[in-house]
Amino acid sequence: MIAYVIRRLLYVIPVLFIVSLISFSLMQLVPGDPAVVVAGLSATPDEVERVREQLGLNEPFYIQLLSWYGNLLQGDLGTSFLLGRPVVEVTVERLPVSLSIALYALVLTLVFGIVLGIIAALRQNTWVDQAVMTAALIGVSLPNFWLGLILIVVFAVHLGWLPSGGYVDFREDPWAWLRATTLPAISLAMLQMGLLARITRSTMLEVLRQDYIRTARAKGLPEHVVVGKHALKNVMIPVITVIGIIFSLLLSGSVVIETIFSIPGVGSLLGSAILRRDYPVIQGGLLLVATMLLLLNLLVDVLYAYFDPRVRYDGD
Amino acid sequence: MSATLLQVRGLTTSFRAEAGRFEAIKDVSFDLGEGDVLGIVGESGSGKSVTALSILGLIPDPPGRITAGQVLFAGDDLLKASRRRMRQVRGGEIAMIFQEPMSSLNPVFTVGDQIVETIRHHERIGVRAARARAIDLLDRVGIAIPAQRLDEYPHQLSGGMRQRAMIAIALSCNPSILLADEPTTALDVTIQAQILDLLKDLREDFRTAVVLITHDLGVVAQYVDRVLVMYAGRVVEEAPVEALYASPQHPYTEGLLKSMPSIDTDADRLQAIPGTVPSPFELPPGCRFRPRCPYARDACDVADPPLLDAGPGHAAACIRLNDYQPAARAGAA
Amino acid sequence: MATEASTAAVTATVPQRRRRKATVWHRLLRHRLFVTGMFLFTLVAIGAIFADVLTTADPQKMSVRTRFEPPSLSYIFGTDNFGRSQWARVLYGAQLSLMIGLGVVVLNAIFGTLVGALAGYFRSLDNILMRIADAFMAFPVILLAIGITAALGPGSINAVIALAAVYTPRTARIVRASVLVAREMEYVQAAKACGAGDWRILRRHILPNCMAPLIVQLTFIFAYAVLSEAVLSFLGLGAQPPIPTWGNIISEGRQYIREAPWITLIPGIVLAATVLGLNLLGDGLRDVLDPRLKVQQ
Repeated sequence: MIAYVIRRLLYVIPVLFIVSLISFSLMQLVPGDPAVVVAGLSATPDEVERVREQLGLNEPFYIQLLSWYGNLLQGDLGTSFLLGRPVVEVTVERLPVSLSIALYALVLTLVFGIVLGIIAALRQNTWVDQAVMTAALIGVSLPNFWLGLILIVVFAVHLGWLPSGGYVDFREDPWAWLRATTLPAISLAMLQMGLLARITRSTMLEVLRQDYIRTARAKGLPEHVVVGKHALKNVMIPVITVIGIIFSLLLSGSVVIETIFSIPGVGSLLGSAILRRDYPVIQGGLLLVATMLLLLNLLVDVLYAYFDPRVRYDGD
Repeated sequence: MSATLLQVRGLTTSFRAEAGRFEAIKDVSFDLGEGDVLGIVGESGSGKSVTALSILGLIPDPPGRITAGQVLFAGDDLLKASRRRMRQVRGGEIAMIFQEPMSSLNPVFTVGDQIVETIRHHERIGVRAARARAIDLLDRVGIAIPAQRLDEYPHQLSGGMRQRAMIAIALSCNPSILLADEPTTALDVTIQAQILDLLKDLREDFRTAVVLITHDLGVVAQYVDRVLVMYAGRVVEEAPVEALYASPQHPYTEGLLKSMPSIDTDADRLQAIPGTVPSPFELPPGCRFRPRCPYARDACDVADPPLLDAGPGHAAACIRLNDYQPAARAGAA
Repeated sequence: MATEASTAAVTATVPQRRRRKATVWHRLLRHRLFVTGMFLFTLVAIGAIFADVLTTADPQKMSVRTRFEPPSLSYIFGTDNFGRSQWARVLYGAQLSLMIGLGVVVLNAIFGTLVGALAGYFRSLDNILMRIADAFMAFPVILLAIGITAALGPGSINAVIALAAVYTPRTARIVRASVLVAREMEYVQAAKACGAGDWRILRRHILPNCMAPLIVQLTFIFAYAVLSEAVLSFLGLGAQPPIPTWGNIISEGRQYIREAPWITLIPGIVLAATVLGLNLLGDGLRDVLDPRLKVQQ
């Protein structure tokens, strides 16, 4: 088990290296003179020169690369032009906001996705199955930013049940937090819910056809044990592997959703950084998110090993 | 024969496929007495497994459905029994083991878990006591260091050990009948013999009646008292094992025996039965074996013959017996 | 048991390929969801292709007198805050969306196949190519696309480049998986033994085997690309106003969502219908072409 975790960890390192290289390269993609782009067209040559200095754009490519890694190893991702503060600082302080919403959305996804998928599988080819699968398909196809807007119009503007935006820290007022984050979480979760319901359903159908399910029935176990114990644990294995993807999609969606709901998280930070061309924030934010996801996937692998004894022991 | 435990009467199971409904088994009947070992032989697709699964009501529905017959066991017709009653019977009074020990055990639970849950489902007994019994069972089916194996996962066991573990699960509640569906097909020859010997011992120790499903006539000769020969979903011959080998009455049985190598005959004169098993959708109008039969005559096209008496405990579905005159029936499917 | 009888007929050999093609169509047309998807997608595609026939209005022409007209007979989809015909804007938006989707699909097909085939066939390249793919896939799709477009500057072409870059590793992985299976096939080994060159083996023997999963994947990529492009242009990273895209129409309409909800509502519905149609097409193709991945019907 430990050997397995170490092997996964060793695998993550080269990937992390390339991830950081990609983040670095983003800046190189800026056409023309990045300093001019950053400083703005109306900037004086002096201002452009200052930006160039600040970004280290005077240096040759390899020096830029080296200093990027040098800073990276010290946990320095540069300074936001806009906020004048270190990228790491502004990102990390907003991270709990984004994570709390992402977790909320993850819980919604897992609960509804798995439950609906299982119900559909158990009622295969009935109207229940078709209704769930149609809903899932529509969920997968809805643009989340548009869904967010519609939810605001319906639940905030017309019905007035929930606020149309803003954020309250959970520790301050859990109830207000729940009210503020429910619409964003639903908008974020819809796509993944549909995805997960579809995956769960097909996995469940696959598992129910396995010989060991027949064995469980032949042992006289009641259906709720056959499904709830023998099938479920096997269904969970592939479902766990997609948690990483689900989380990735949730963070993807957060830029738009946090912007729409005026939530002060990493997503809206990135959103405004994009509009103002605050490159260090874009680079740093991307790198942080990708690193987080890689580590999450590592965790998922470990969880996977826990659920699937075959993996656990093959690793030894 | 000892007291009858199980009577199967006219069991017919059909499946829905894209091309329509077909009968996987038709009109299967047999009796099973206490401590009997009944062999069911036939090629794959002849309906052996469907018969066993139908008895326990384990045919997946859809696409399968038992359309006719009775399975009389301990005073009940299992085909009409409540779900509750069926759950008592399954694993408790009638247990089953399967062909693929690899896939028949749940990969994500330990062997012990899978035995203990069976015991605890059928009896009011604590975890500790159930575990003790599970260790005892593993020991009895010939697994070394059972206390350690109990906490291992199926993939950590060899194929033979897995099948032993399956047998331990099956025996965990002292069933009166064990349905063994090709229990050794997936195993090495040496392991095969060990498993079959184990089944034989168990039958002697527990007086468990065994239905041994196999396509291996060698196994039948060695371990079985009575044989049902199935072809294309029907029982074509039933006989005590000695009678079957001495004087097979159905041409299919004859063909099977001829295709079996033995020390007495020359290996290079083995005969295969010509042709293949018909698809269930294209059954011939009369006898199902007619297209492959060396004795076929015109009368064979008239109707599928019933089992005809061919001596004590011996019957075969062939019109050559007792000069049987088939009468054309309307609507013979 | 029930399947035993039917599986025997599955093994298809080369001379049967033409017949198989016919049956594939036949089966697709019997696939209810595929036909629904086809219908939705065709509807949008017709709207896009014949945009200038279906409307005579200039999607960029402003008119103070016709601001905020709700949908009516004269303005099917209503008008926006500048009095522009929403019908025209949504149709021309469809044109752009589908073109961007198509562009991403084409780039994806080329580079995904290239990278996937190289990685799958030449084992020495596999490790490095797949690590790079993993690194790309470590970023959330939209975030990376946003990063790339933000660097390159907003615009439709850059959006296509960004989305193609983001989805290519995913396609490459799928092609690679099929290549890995195909290269172990006996007839490939036989071709190799006969001295056929790598290139020839790849082109003649291996890539045809990757077609089914690739077609399925590209259909889904089309759907994602349309959806992601809408996100990019919603954020102001796609084509710039006044050029209409579904994303920027929704973005502009957002401010008037109380008074004139149709501005936001309609392009969203059309966008969702397009993505839904493509997803349905993908599901249908997967069910029929690539039964291994079949989600039980």
